[in-house]
Formats: sequence, C-alpha cells, structure tokens
Amino acid sequence: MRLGDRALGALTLLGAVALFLASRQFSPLPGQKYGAETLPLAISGLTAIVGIWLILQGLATERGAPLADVVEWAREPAAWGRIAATIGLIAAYILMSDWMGFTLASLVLVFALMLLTGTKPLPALVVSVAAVLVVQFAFGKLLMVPLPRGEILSLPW
Amino acid sequence: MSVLAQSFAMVFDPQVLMVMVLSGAFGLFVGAIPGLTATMATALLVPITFFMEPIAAIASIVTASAMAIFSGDIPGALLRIPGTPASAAYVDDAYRMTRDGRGNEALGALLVFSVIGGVFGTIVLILASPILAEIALKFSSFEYFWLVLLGLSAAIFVSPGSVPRGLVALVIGLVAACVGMDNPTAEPRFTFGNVDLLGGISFIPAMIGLFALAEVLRYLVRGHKTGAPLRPSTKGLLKSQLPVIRRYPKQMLRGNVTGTLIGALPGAGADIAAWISYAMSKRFSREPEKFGKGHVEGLVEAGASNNAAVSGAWIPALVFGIPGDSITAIVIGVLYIKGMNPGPTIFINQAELINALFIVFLLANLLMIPLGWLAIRAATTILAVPQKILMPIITLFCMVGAFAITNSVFGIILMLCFGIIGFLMEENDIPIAPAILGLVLGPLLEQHFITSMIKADGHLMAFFDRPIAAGLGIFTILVWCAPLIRRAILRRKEAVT
Repeated sequence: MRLGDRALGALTLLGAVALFLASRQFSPLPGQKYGAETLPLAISGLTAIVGIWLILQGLATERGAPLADVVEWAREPAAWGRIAATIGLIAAYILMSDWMGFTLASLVLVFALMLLTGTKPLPALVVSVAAVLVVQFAFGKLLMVPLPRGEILSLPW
Repeated sequence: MSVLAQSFAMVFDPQVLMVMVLSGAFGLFVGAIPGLTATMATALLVPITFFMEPIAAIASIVTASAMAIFSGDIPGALLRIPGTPASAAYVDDAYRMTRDGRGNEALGALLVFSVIGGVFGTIVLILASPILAEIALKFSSFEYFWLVLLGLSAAIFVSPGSVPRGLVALVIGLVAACVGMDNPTAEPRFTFGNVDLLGGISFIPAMIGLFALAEVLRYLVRGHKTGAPLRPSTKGLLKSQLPVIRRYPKQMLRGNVTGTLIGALPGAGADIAAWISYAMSKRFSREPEKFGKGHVEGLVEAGASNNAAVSGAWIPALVFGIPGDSITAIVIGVLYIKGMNPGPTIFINQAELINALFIVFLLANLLMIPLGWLAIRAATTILAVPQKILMPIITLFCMVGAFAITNSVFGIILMLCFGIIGFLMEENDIPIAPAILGLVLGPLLEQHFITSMIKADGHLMAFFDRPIAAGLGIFTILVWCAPLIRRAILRRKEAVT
C-alpha cells in the first residue's frame, strides 16, 4: 500500500494535532519561558506545515487518482503471512528468551526463519546450529555480552 | 639524538608495531559487527592498555578507533546495516552500488577516502591545532544551536525523492528523540508509563531496525523476485579509485576540510560532519538527481569527512584536554593514567611523546589500507551465501546487536518496532536517513536551545548577538530560503523574456 500525497498529508496533519495536544501537558522550567514543552510544540508546528504542504501538493498533482495505490505484493496473502510470521517469531523470542536461553531460542528463531525463506530442512538445521554457535561464541565469550542463559539449556558462554 | 628521531624510535619499536596491527584487526572486527561501536572497541581495550608502555597503549587505542569507524561502513555497503550514525548518511548509495554489482567501487571509495580524510585531519592536527582549538573554544551554546539546525536542514537535501516526504521522516526521528526524561524539566515525555522508555530511545537499535530489519521484511515480501547482489571482487579495489580521485578532487578536499573543522568542535563530531558533507555534496553536484540511487560522489565527500572529523576531534582533546566525542573522552583517561597530561604544556614538556603520537596517527591511518583491504576481502564472502540463508542470519545479528546496547530485550523490542516503521516508510517512499538525523540531533537541538535561553533570559534575538552565531544563523536561514529565492529569480527572468 502506498499512500498518495493527500492521504499522507492528512495523516501527518492528524499527527501534528495529536502531538500538539500531548505536548501541552509539559511545563516550562521554573522562572523561564521555555522547557520540556518547547521541542515537542516546535515539532508539531513543523509537522503541521509538512502535512499542509503534502495536501496542497496532492491536490495539485493527483487529481482523479485514488488516495492510495495497492502494490503488487500486497495482493498475495502469502507475503502478508511471511511478514506476520517473522514479526511473530521475533516477538516470541523477546518473550521466551529469558526462559529458554539464548542458544535454544535463537536456534528455533533462525531455523523457522530459514524454512520461511524456502531453505530445505536439513541444510537449514545445519546452518542454524553453526550460526548460533558462532554468534554465541563471538558475542558471549569474546565480547562478554550477557546473553540470556535460560532455564532449559545453557551453554557455558 | 634529536626529538624527532627519538619519537620515531619510540614508534618503530617491534612491540608497538605489533600492538598496532593486533588492535587494528580487533577494531575492524568490532566495528564491522552491527550493534557494536567504535566507542565499545576503545572501551574494551582500556583494561589491556594498563599493561603496556605509554606509546603502545595510545597506539593501540588510536589504531582500533580509526579502524572501527571505517569498518562500520562495510556492513552498511554489503547488507545495509550502517555501523555508526556517521555512515548512515550514505548507506543507501553504498548499498545500491553493491546491488548494482558495483560493490567493488563503493567499498574501494569508502576505504580510500577514509584514509585520505584521516591523513588530512592528522596533518591539520599537527600543523594547526593551537589555532583551531582557539577558535573552537569560541563556540558556545548559541553557535552549536545553529550548527545543529544546519545539520537538520541537511534532511531537505539528502532526501532523494519528494522534499515533504523527507521532512515526514525527519519529524518521525525528532518525535522519537523527545521520548524519555532526558529533557530540561526531567518530566517523562511520551513514555506511556513504561520504565524502559524513561531512558529514551537509543539510536543503535533504532538504526538497526530502520535499515536492516526493514530490508529483511522487504526481502520476505518481494525479495525472491529481485535476485541477490553480486559478490564484489577485491581485484583492483584500490586502483579503481584513481579515476575517482581525479574526477572529484574538489569534493574530496571539501569533505576533508568540513570534517576536520566540525570534528574540532567539542561535541559536534563525525555524525554531523558526515551529514553536512553529504548534503553539501548533493547541493553542489552537477548530478544531484543520482544521489541516493548508487552514486559515488556522496561517498567520496562524506566518507572523507567523517574520518577527518575523527582526527579533528583530537585537536581540543590534546590542546585543552576537552574531549570532542566519547572516544577521545576514554583516551584522555588513558593519557592521564600513562602520565601524559593533555593540555597546552604537553607540546613543551613532552615534545617527544607528542611527536610520537602524531606519527602513530599517520601510521594508523596508513595501516588502514592493507588491513581494510583484508577486511573487505573477508567480509565480501558473506555475499556468496544465498539470500534465503543470509537473511535469517542477518536477523539474528540484528537482534544480538540490539540486545548488546542495553543488555536487555528492550533493545530488541525497539529494533522490532523501528523495523516495522522503517518497512512502512519505505513502502510509502519516505526516506529512512532523515529519521536517523532527527533522532541523533533532536536531543542536541533541545539542549543547546534551552541552555542558550537560560543564559539570555528568554530573548530569542540573543541567537544573533555573537558574531559567529549571527553568521551561522544568517547562513542557515539563507539555506532555507535559497529555493524560494531561486524560484523568484527564475520567474523574473521568464517575465523579462
């Protein structure tokens, strides 16, 4: 989906209003004219200008065109499925890594992603095991990043 | 023995040279991994330097930091994961070139012009540091405010397509920069009650998400049809740059000078330098329409500029002991531990040490050519891996890199959110680079504005009271009005004819 100038402009203008309303709760420094509200208010002003600019530009150039174009991939349900699955896998990693440990959680993640991109199961398994071990060694051991150890399976680094 | 000969003897000691090669390799390794920064490479070296002689210790840190800044460009060009905000300015050009089968040219340009920028900055450091440092000290919050605003204006020029769509990206970055309690009154802004957001949005996870994860998502929806980029060959990597140097000498010089000057200002640094240089390059180019679509000109100017800025940052560090960025801050600590006290007296009392330091600088930048070549050769093997295997592994690297910044899954959450935002932005032809610019410069803009207003008791005209500030201010406003003025002149010309 690609928004045209008019639709994007309207959305931007809406964002500017929301930002303006949200910024009014912040207060200036005691005894000063400016403070925490200055930057968000200034940004909301800039956003409003950009929104109006886009709407005017759209009105001038997009006469008769639809508000948004649907691009080719967006008509394939499989493409949407792949995106949703990837976001879901990363979200699952975020939720589960503390419990499963880095080794297992990332192995599941990389293996599933490889199946998603169309790699055959056996090569996918071999490559994911190798990749996880290399990353675990480089980050966990060499660079001393405290990767989650987990409760199920934890390698010593 | 003369002072200079003594300094040479100190540097060309087998132990020092070996330390330099090893730290260089380490710096290249750390810098090339997305999520790990040049600052981190430097910080990890500090404990090891305790056991070294003074010159070896400094040499190791100088070499590692110079290499790490360059090698941040490598994943940017190969996988579209910029290593530092400084390389984010031209990552789209470099990555497009790799996709078009010109990765050889892109990586060669980044290497060669990094070296040229670094050497130029060092020569200025040797010849003119006291004078430049004197000028740099005249910069107060008023001047920095204008400089940051000028940097932000670069967003208008770096946007490859429509200007308002570029500004939408800038606004997204600026809003993200507002999040957290790091603001004048320390009120939690846009945190929605989340404790992790109180600390603000750190730009490394955001940058990894916006560029790299968005690229992975894009591959998943349409990648099967676009085909993999060719693996760049390293044959003639350096030789191929001779015609580029001959073609763009002005751009190279401009990048060197801008980078060194901006780098010499404490707190400005390589990020602003790269962005302003890239914008300048596009503004004065004869082919501005090619920028962002795989054009080498911007790489020449901005690539030279950010490395010149790294050398420039040493000017205030050595002359006054004022760190220009986080790396020099760490180094000043190491200098003190090793008994070299940065400040005006270092040039008189420890002349042989400071000369040795200058030699180390030059040598570190020259060492970048062979080591950088080897690193590029090793890194390009990545592209021999089929995309369907590479993309999941990139995702893993993105996640671990984002995790390493905060040592918590919060970094991964940020990366995922910005990955989705980046994907949506690109689907709507909104460029990514201005969002990074807003995110990095937003906090600086606020800080310098509020500090200035406290000093001036809220009088806005104070931004024009000091001579340098007034000059920068007028220049910034002229930059904004230039398109309007040009249009007015064209219209008048048309009316006359």
